[in-house]
Amino acid sequence: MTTFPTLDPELAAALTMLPKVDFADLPNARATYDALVGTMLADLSFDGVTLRELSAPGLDGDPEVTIRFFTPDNTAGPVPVLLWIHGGGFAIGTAESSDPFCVEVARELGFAVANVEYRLAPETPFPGPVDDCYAALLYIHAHAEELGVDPRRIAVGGQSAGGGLAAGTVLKARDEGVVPVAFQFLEIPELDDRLATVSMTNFVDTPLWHRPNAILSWKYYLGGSYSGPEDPDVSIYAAPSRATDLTGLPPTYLSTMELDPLRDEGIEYALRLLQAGVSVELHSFPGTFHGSALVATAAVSERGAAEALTALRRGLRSLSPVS
Amino acid sequence: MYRLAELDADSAGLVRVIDYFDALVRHGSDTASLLRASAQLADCVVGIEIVERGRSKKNLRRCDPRGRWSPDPQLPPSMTRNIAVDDEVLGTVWIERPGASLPLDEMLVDRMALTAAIILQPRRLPTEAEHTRNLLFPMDELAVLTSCAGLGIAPQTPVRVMATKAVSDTADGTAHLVISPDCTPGKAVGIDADGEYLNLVTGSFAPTPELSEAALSSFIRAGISLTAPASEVSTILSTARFARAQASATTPIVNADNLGALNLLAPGPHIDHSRIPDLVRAEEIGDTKQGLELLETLRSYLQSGTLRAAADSMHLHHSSVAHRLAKLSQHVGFHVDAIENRARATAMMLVLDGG
Repeated sequence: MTTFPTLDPELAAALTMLPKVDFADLPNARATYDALVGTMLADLSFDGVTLRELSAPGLDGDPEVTIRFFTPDNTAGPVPVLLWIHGGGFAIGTAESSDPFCVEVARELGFAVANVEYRLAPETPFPGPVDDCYAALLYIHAHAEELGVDPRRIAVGGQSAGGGLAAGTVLKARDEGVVPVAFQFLEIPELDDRLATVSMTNFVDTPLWHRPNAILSWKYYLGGSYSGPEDPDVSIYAAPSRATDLTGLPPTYLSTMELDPLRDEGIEYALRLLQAGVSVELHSFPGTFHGSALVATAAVSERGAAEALTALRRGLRSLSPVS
Repeated sequence: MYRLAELDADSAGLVRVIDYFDALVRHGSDTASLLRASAQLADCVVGIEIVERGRSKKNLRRCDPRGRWSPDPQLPPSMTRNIAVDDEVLGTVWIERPGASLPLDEMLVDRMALTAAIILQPRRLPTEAEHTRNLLFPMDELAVLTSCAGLGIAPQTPVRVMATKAVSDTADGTAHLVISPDCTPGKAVGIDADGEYLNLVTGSFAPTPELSEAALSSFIRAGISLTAPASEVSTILSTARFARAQASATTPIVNADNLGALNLLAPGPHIDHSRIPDLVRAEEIGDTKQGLELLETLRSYLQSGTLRAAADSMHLHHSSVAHRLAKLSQHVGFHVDAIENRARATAMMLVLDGG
């Protein structure tokens, strides 16, 4: 049993009270995760925010994609919008699980938030999930005026697997050239199926996320034709770390957690974005683990949450008037 | 995460509360993080007041479950504890639970006070060896649970004790066998106790031929106790020592399971019959008519001394007696008619008939 001496004390205590999620047993993992999130959703207040459900047409004849669309009350004129993609290793979680964050962004920043209910692996492997996110992005952009959002101030963001889907969606948006994404917001993103970094190699029993889970996660997401980390045919929209050209991507905020196997792939992605000339804010939080932000009252989680909001606010601040 | 209200008020729940606060100490908590974490677990407002000599101003902090300081309203404390170090009171901690107290509230404020004391006047935490010793030679029930938490062992986990000792006094007194981590519950470690070496091992532990070889070649004799929940392991320590005393050059490691009801001869605290596999199986067999017949056959065999004599007294052919004894042996897991098991079989019947 590894004891992780650098773990933050509040997070270490909370960890003794967190249920174990076994990613190999998906029905159980889904139920445990939903129950965990359910207690947080129970006392969520929607004051100052309006929530409605939108339906975006699926890509290439795919089923319609549900979007939980949050708008701040009492606003005048088009507002910036965050397309938000929830986490859960590509295989668990729901859009609703991100409601607390979406409400906070709408209420505190006055942004609209489009929270995507993408289809989950392994029932829907790549490209279904990322296509759903891209379909939602196209819809928000095309209907910007009636939704009251500013089509020049669209951010795409997500957490964990959602961070990977966000990075894939942003790459696709760059390549397709239809939607100009103004800001990329990647929290603890899952980006690389090759699993070769130091953190991904060493962290085999870290809390909530570790190498065995990561192996399963990519197996679920990349489906039956995937032959493993050596597979030469993995799309960059599935595993954005495989992209060799990162130029032309929007300014990015990227956060990583110290005791997270995804730490190094996140930092490497940030570094390569910087080397490609993209403006990046990178923050690695000490004493944290993957998903430790769930322990929202811990001081380090509060710091991370406050900074994420600040980065988003700055990322989508009013553009200077063009003269 | 789970809150206090969701935990069962049993020994496992108590250990989780202890473990929660131990984690804070292990990872270098300060009073602010202690308070936030306490409020989070309690799911109500908690407070701390630290006495500072020569200052009239109150050094008081309160925190709510969402990590907000000095929340309103301020309710009267529902439970309070002094923060005491060596009879000196450094301050108090309390919780402000509206309505009825929870069964685990008392444990929560106890641990808050203890953790605050450690933060305010840092002391060394018990080592794993000390926790292991506490489990084997406990002061009281709370000490047992504290050590379960310290070692990361759920109190209901089945464990055994292995007692080892060198054959002669001239040999190295600390001689012991190396147990693989897979066979060790939690973070328990071997300890030296008056020239004897004691290891906690998992309930499923069974010595490999290699381990017996190692014992022989290093002139070590070992005994493995019966199985008990970790929180009650001290009650079966005597069976490890008793088993060790029966070890020999032919059988350097003896498992108390194989001594059956003879374990009741071990000096020390009373041993629950449910811990002795022979008695458990014999009780099960006694539940059926056919099983009773098998036990009656053994009783008769032990009284008369030979298969033929038993057969005569039961008006059976001697091969039927042999067949029944073989069947009973299968059920109880040892050859009831083998000469080396005579005492074990007799003890089993004595206890069955006497209980």
